[in-house]
Amino acid sequence: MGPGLDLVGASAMSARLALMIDLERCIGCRSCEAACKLEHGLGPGERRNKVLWLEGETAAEVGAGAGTGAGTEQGAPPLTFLPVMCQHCARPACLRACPVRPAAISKDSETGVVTVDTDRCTGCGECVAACPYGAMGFDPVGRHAVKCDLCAERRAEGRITACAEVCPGRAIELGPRDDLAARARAGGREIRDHDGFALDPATLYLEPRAGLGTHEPAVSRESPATGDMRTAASPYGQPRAARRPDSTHRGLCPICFASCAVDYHLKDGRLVAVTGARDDPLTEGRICPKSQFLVQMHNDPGRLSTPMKRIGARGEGRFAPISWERALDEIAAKLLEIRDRHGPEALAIYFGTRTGILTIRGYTLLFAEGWGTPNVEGTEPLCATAKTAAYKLVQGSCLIPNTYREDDVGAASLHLIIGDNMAETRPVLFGRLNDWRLRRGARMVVVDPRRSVTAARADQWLAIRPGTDMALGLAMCHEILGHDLHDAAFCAARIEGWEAWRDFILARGYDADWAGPVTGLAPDAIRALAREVAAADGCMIWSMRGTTQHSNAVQTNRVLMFLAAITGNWARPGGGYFNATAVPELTPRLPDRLRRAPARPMIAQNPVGWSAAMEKGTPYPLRALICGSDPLTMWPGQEEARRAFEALDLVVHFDLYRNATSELADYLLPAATGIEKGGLNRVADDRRLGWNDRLIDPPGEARADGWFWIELARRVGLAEALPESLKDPAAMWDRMVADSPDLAGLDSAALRAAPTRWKRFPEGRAGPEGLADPGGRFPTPSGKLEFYTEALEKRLGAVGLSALPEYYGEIAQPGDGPVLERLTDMAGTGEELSPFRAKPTLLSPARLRPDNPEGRRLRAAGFDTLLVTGRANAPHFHSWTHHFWQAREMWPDLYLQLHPDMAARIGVEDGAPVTVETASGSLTARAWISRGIRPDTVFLPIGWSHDAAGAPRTAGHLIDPRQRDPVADQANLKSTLCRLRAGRQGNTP
Amino acid sequence: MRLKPLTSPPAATSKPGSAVRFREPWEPSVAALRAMGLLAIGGGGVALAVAAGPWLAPGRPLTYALGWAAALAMLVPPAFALAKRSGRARRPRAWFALHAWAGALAVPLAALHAGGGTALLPLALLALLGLVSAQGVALRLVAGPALARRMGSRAEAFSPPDPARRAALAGLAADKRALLARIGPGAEEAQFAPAPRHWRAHPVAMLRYRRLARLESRLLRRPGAPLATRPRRWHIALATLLLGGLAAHVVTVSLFAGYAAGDGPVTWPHLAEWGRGWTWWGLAP
Repeated sequence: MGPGLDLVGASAMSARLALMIDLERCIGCRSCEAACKLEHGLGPGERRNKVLWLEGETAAEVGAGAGTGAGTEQGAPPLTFLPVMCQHCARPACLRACPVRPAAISKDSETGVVTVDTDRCTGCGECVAACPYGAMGFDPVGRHAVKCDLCAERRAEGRITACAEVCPGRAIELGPRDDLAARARAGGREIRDHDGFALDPATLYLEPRAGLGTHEPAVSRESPATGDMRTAASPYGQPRAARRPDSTHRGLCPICFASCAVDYHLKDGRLVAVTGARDDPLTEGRICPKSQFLVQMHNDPGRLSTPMKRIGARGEGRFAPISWERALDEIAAKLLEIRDRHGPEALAIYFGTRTGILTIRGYTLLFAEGWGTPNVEGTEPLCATAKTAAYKLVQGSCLIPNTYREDDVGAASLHLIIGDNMAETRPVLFGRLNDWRLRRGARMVVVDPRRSVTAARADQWLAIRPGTDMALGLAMCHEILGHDLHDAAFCAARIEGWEAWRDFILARGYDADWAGPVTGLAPDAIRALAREVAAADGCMIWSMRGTTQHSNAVQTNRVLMFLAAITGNWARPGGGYFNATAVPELTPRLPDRLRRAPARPMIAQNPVGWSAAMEKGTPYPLRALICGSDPLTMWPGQEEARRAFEALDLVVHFDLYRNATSELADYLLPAATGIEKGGLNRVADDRRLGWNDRLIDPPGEARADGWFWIELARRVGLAEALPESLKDPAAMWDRMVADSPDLAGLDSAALRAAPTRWKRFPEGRAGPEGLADPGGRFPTPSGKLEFYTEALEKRLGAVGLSALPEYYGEIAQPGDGPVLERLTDMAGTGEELSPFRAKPTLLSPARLRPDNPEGRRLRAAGFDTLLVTGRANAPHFHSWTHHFWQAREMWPDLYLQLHPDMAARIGVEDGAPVTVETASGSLTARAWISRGIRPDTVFLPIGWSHDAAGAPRTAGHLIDPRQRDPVADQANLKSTLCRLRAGRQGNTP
Repeated sequence: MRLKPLTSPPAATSKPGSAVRFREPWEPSVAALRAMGLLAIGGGGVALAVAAGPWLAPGRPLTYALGWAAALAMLVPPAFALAKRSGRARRPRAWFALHAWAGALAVPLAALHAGGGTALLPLALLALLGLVSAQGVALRLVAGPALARRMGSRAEAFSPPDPARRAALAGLAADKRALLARIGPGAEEAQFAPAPRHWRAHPVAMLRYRRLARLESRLLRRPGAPLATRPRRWHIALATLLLGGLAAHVVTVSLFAGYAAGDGPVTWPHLAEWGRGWTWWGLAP
């Protein structure tokens, strides 16, 4: 069940054991903490290890003004992470402090491992107080000392420690101390001297290049508000014997799109542990904390377990239990009534990716097609439709060519990461990539308004102004094309319209001197970066939501794709543009006789654009919503969304937990998830697919999404469209795959048969070059990567853009334009349809304008700071992880990251409340004062909701839902003008 | 393993994950600790009120018996302290629980024993008993989470060492090793913790050793930081004072029964009636 440890032999046992922690590799994800608690059954507040986030106190200023950005190599303050656990000192102060005789703490004479006998410990705390490293834990409920014993039980079985096994960053090793030290020195690494107390600690820390920070932000410490000792779900706190699994099953983590391979360990039909799948060729047993939190989720007494019906006024939060039969009958009757009165299009369906691909690309689509509504969508327009659209425009498909393999992305000599905090959003994949990079000696440059964890591990950090990545891309292309640094052969053979692009960009003067003031970066830094990309023997350009959640996102992504392509970095080992995730063509269709064509087009691709239709009936009324996930936490434009939900005739909410959306629901239905229902949950980053069997019962009466849709379909006359047989997830997947050329051959049997339960699509083509057809053609009309064609010009012209990307920024940018002006409010109103959608969808016209009156108006009103929102730290994924107690324990409070200069300006202290206000609303968060962010920018994580974490308002309250990309309807979540003030306020907009 | 079919509406509700058990059943839970607090303070108060009635006058056989019960309960904590330090406690955690319950129980017993008496010194002793009991409960409730929060609280300890402090600590360790050669030949300084037998055999050397250990402890702490277990030390100090008071009280009512009875008769078993008519600085017994 874990990697072997050659320590059981007599000779090895004589060695002093130690952990060696590479501070250069640690990414602060706290997976080691989760693994430790899971392994040892520790509850809230009870720790054997803890990862400290440490920042430097002083360093060069970053970003604006000097415009240099400041990478670690340029003397920026370090952001480092320090895993703290028992140091297993040769002279353990804890042992000497213990008043019990024989002492409750002992030291093994051979291995040097210091252990506490909790049966003898009386909980006096003397040992905790005596440890100068603060490395002794204490069980605040059982009231005894707890400490790391290097996983004695695992070592007895020849296994390494749980922390070392899961560490996504590959930062922790267990072994004989002398061997580890010798190996570190042989590798040229410096071992940190931290023996300030003459105790001779065993743990080895390898120095990070930028040095170790000294200041721990208040928000990374535990909050007094967390750690309710009574809410932890089993199997925490249960004896080891009660947690020993009786069966183990391979599967995938369903939480995020990294889709890490895991082993589910069951006992008596209950999930007792989740560990990484060691034989998985990509993850090799590494998992992040989220996967381990699945144990909490599947055992959580707080899960919804009974269908409920609203009994008070909407929003009053009063519900009464109802049977499934009756709930479904009533919902069906109401739906039929609404269809009779307003037409089938009056039903809207919204289910987030949490519910799984079978739901969002299967059951809901088939139901909607049979019912006759076009208004069905998932979270994609909030997440990443822009990159999907850009990929399709450039290469004809959103199948990302590259994959996570050492001979593919691992072969790059340069990683340029723009707007992708991979180390926190996909810790395991970043750890894998960083390992390849460090071993190969490849450089990593991160472009991001804040020094994310990814940036902290990079060779260079460029602190770009939010929303200006397109300008950076344009200037880099200008530098490369202007100096003939491009890959001429690749351009000639594989790119359509690259000359037009070159002429356009040179004529426009989009050079580094132009881009410098726009981006806040030094022109020389832009030029140097461009030349580095051009000269690299394989450059991977990584991007993610930082470039994708903007109103200029499609054009930004196209420009960055152009940058990759003109340097020959496309579909080659070690070279490419990677903006996750790959999206296969997957739209199951009903037979014509079962299909009911909508009489009216989809109102907007982005569901936030449905608000006016719900509230005011324009362009036509939406009267019913069936939804999963938590739109009333996550959607931008919360005020509009709440008014819209309140105006509906029927709101059905089908989810795991009662949350903000539930409060406005008429019916609250308990959902099964992950291994409670089985099936295929996610399409992973790089075209991986994997299968989970159904392994455990859901809580109470919770049901799978598929069951719900089929039962509902039967009651509204769609039994033939969604037959009973499709309740089997395998049958549903096979039905979906049958309609998808991208997924041919990857039916449920194939996925189940794969050794680690995942395969890549297209089947049999794993490498980057494998995506093109035998003639090297891309699936575009020209067979080449398309920069400029007349057809493209016409399509993009329909939304006020052009095939040759012209720079425009967000309203939030400083200066006076150019910006995009939407010509309608929340959604399209006319008859014109989007040329970018296969499904008829109202076009929301826009045009570029040279000035920025809205930005001027807001700045004049004092909104002079840039607000960036984004994913929280590694233990969290949007809103649902906030229901997991250990995720709350790790990052308890909604925070606002701001620069010390900004903090000084408004007079706020680290950890104190700070109020952030935009034209849309306001909220209060705790201040995280950090030099790792531009002075003109603040960062607010998403996902904290009022019900889960005590945040009365969410990031969604601050964001204008109208600022959306005209091609992909992608919401701008990354660049909003705001103003700050110290202290709390009434949280009213 | 057989899973419930999910193809039809469920007939019955199964329970979600069970709640957690973090401790042994006999260990005081948070609720039990609160009960102890209630017993000590509330029970003590009620007992005082009850005892003020005519049925429990000081010196009656029942109050006398209650006094012995209270005294025995008050002796459990020092027994616990000795047992765990002498190596005679096979189950130190059970001893701990016993000392906590006994300490809490002693308060109402002692209050009843007071029998509505108004003598200042015994009442002061009773108040001290209540204080020590309440302090113990509060310590257990508050100190646990506080101690848990100390994990990972000393990032500065991983900074480059202060050579002077390291040298001082190394010197102290050397001095301790030299002393240990006399106190416990063969003992390893790194793991040595004094036991009563060391004190009996080498009291002077042990005093010196303790001084060195305290110096070391001070140097291991964050400069200027108070000892984290100071409240516990106060608890022990007050409990020791209480024990002394108890001993003084027993001696007084046994040998100086005349003083304790004041102007009245001695109605309880005693050894001598010395001290009748005595006052301490004008205070009646």
